[in-house]
Amino acid sequence: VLVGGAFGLLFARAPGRAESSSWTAKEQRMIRSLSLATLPAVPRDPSNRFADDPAAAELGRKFFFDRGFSANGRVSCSSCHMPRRSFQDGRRRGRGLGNTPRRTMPLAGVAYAKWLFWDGRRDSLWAQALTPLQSKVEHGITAAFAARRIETRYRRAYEHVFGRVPREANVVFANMGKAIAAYERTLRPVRGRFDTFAATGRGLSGSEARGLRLFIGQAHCTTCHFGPLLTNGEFHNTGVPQDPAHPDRGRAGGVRLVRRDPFNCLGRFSDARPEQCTALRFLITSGPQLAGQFKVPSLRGVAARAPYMHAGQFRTLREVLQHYNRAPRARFGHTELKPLHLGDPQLKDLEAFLRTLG
Amino acid sequence: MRRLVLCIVLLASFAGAASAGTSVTVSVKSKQKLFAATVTHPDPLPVEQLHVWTVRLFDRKHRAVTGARIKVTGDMPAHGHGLPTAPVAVSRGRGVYQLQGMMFQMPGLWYVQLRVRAGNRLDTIRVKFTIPE
Repeated sequence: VLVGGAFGLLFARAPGRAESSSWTAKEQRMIRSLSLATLPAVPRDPSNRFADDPAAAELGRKFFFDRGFSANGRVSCSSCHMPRRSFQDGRRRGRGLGNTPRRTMPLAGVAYAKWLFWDGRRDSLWAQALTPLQSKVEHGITAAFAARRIETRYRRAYEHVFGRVPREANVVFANMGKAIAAYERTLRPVRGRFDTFAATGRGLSGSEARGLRLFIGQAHCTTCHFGPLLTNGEFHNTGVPQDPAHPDRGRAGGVRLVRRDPFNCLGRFSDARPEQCTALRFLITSGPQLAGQFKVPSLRGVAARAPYMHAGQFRTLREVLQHYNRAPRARFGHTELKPLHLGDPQLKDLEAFLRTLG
Repeated sequence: MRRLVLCIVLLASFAGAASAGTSVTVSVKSKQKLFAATVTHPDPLPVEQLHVWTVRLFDRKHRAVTGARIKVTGDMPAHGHGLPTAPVAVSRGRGVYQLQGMMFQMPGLWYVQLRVRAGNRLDTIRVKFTIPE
């Protein structure tokens, strides 16, 4: 009660107050729920018993930056997940040995994701890490190639974490993914000015505060973008434009791929007991709603990550907001959006708010 | 569809990820009135957390319906999608069924539909509720 009272008092003094009137109790509650201060501890990953092992994370960090794990010796995880660019690449579509069909996703806070990739075709961070390595247009290597390199270049560090290098390449490869995942679990989202505002009631301009009010109200952004990472981690169809040459059905394909992934939670390389694989057990595998669904990305640091959507369809945040405002028909399935009927000044305010998210 | 809130009970029987708290039990009849059911779920309903519902199924004479097959679907009419999961109905005997793998990905107005088949009887039970933001 005391905390809530202090919070209310702080909000009454908020600089945005003059432009956007005082915040209701419901708005204050919502603002608190979006703050990074409410982010819980990183969830356990029962499929990876090395997930929180610092030595595994250090080995994973080396793997992450090693270009030797590629067919041409020039591609590492960090080629697309660039640390100086919020662990993404700023391109419409990722580029390794060749061009990938989708946008590179950022990594900060990825430890909280239940499903990985835009279509959720992997169910753990370690299974995700192995996928680009084997992709012909990304790293272009095999499990055997990775295992040989680990045995010759990383034997000591590998054995320190995982024990003796086994003969089966897939076991070494799976452990490589688990080490990379342990490293990626340490990548946390960065506080933004919004978080300062949520804690103190200060630091947002009038436009940003009006944008925040729209975000949690009239624009319905928090229907999907909620919680401290500003995502529900699920899949939705927002009718984003599709490239006619490369139509993408999103989640409809992802559910099939995750079920048959040999590195999924139920596979023999997983450390989880079958009953711990609840996401796979209750996976929805059919239905018209899956067509054209893509993962709801976190909005943390969103302003620094143009272009937007699963194939970089929108160059700017303004284009994204205009799309949500118009709510056009979807190429596949049905868009879940409804026109927002917001004016240009409101879109500007929303954009101003989005720029405060770190 | 008539819906009657019967009681609020302690959430002792709920396994799964939802945090311990209270539950609510609603009484519903199937569309063709072949079945009646009490449906118990956590209150408030969690968002983005797997949890369990409990269904007690009765026939017209209020006898427990055992051996039924229940298919669970959801519908969020404002957004045109259903549940993010495919829940599984597990019989616990004496007409009691656990709906495991329940999850909602959004606040708002929801319908959960239980398509019940017991012998040659087939009917649908619908539960309507709103998850507040």
